[in-house]
Amino acid sequence: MGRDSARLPEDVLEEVLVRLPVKSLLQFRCVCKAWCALIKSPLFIHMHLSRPRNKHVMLNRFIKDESKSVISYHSHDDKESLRAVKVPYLLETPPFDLRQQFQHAQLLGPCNGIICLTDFCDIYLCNPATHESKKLPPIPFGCPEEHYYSTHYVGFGFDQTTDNFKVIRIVRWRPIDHHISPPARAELYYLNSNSWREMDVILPWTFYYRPCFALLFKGSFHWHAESESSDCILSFDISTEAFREIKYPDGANPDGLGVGYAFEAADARRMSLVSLDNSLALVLYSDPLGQTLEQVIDIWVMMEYGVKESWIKKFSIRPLFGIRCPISSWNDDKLLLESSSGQLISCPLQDDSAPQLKEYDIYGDKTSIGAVIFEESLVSLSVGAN
Amino acid sequence: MASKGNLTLKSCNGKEFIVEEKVAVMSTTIKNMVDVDDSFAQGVIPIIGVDGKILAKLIEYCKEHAEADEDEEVKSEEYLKKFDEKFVDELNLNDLYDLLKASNYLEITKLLNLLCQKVASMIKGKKPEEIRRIFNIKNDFTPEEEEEINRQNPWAF
Repeated sequence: MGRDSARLPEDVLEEVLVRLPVKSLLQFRCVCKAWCALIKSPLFIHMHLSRPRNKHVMLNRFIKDESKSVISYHSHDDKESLRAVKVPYLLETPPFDLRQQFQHAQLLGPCNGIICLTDFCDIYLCNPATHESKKLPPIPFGCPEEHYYSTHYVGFGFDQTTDNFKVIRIVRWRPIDHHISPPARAELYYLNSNSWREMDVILPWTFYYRPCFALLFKGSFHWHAESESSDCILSFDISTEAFREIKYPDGANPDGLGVGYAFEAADARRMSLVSLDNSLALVLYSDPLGQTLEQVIDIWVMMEYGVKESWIKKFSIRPLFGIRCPISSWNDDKLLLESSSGQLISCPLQDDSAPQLKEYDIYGDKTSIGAVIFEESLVSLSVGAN
Repeated sequence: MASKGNLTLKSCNGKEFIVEEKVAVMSTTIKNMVDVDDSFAQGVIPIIGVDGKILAKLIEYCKEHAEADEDEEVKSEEYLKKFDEKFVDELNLNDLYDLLKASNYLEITKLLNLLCQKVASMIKGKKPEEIRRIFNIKNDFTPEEEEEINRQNPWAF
């Protein structure tokens, strides 16, 4: 072919490259200097981010026989199976001691292809597609003497107004020899300055950890919280840095289960907060303690974000058998669940008299499976790279 | 001279094509020309840098899509999808590049997207040296610089 015909104008070349998966683009950086500069440019990274990209499933689970937690990374191009792909070094050899299941290693996100990994002591940000990762610096604020530092929640997101990733952690300084619980505080990390700031707020809520409840949705991070009057979804707007209570639907808690401290790990997993067709949705499981033969999952969708009256019960999936707990939504048309034998399964999201469950060859110990579904990106954690 | 409702397009090597206006204005560039200057609608529209063979291909594509936009029942989405697949599959590399450049210049967005996707699937999974060969690109990195890039993501290679 002639030299001229092979030369594509730069804007056409951009349109071609932006359709490629991250792995190809990383390789193609060494085609020539012009390609390298294009692929690394913030504008191109942004263009790539705004297009549909390869989707992956990231799972964390505890494997009893090996006495360790594992994080695995799966692609599902063919939709029928979950094929394992190579995990970044950070995830292959998790940096903290994950041998104990109840250390609550949690995967959070995704946000622009970045996930956050924490054991509630250390926090890492990671781009699993480019294998880039970053450990956040330790908290510089000292805890008073005779107190210890405990982290309730971690959340993160991207502030478009300042082009900055932020990580929030909700903590308490607990006196060592008292059983009283001092008010919670919030600390914010900014990637651009690689520094922490203590927020000037006292948080009046009580927090009970629900492993499958942390959700970044429409620029706000969400967790379960309880105030004196009632339970709520607590949201934190990553841009404005403001907290807000979102009320649960009235009919969602008829049996009183889920209120207050969850005595069993399975009970803490009774509720899962997910995003469904661009709306906030609540997945409620009828029988976390396995007391009934037939089980039901109700899906409540908040049609208008933040408006309590807009909650509607959209699906009631029944009868289900042998389910332990919901994990996450997947592609807006199914749920990921953990079976009572610790197997990962999916279930179509529809009112159905006999839901067709699909089993995957992935197992974890009781109530240990967590999942994050993310679209790969070129977004970098180096300051100023985006 | 084209009759009413038709436009005459002239390729860079002098070939003239009379096409329906609805077909021609799938190109935003042509649409803007016709909208701004009425004389184009009467006379001949020169299509700079696009030869007769490529222009005929462009018109073939636009014709199918303009008709489908007008009457969904005759040409369903599925029909168009099949047409698009066949259209790109039958192109050799030279024509593919020439069509890409022409559809970019003429702003035929649908076709540009289709062709970009075709090139992307063609080069996905190829090694950098194959890419250089396909696009006739000279490697302007020193071996040290290339090694440094490879070192950043060894698992990707």
